[in-house]
Amino acid sequence: MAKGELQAVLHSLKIDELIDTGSKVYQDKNLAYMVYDKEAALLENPLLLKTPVIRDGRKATVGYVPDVWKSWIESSKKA
Amino acid sequence: MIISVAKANIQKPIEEVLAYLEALDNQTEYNSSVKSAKKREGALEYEISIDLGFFSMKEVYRVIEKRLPHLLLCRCEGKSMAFEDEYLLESNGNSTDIQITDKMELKGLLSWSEPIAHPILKSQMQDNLNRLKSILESRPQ
Repeated sequence: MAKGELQAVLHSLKIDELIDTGSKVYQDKNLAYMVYDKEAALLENPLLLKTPVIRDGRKATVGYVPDVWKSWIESSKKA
Repeated sequence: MIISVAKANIQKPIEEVLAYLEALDNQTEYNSSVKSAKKREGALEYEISIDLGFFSMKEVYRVIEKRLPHLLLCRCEGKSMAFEDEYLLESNGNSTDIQITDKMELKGLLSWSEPIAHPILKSQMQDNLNRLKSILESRPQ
């Protein structure tokens, strides 16, 4: 994910929500025990990013949340 | 790293093109390398089997990022090979301009086959995209 894209996502989500603490990168780098620049780490290690990240304009979700995506579709139909 | 790009214009609205693309099990219809694709419950992930001619594998193909209705980014991370596909869509009146970029990393000894693989992959990608265009355009309005 590009820096601008990540910053746009961070308007809707907290950075901690984006970090996949179950990922191999997270484990290998011992990130649970470190103080680190989370934004830089996400940009450097795409596999650290929890997925999928779904965006619709300024709205964003991370993880599998089909009910939210459905509500976006419904509201776009009404608009 | 092998980077291949294919482009086309599809005479269908962007929402219809994205809806077809994001159901990744549709890949078996237009992508000659994808032999099977099955969605996993509760995730935007598909178990796929791929045969590239010089290499075959079974792996998980994941939706990494989606920006409605312009971008779909998917990744497959295997032991011998990893690839990322970016589907970039732009509405062009009632049609859609599409650009697919495939970034493939062959690992270990397989990386030696990159010079052979590149032209094969590029030609396969454009063929696949042409097939996708044909499938979508032949659907009723």
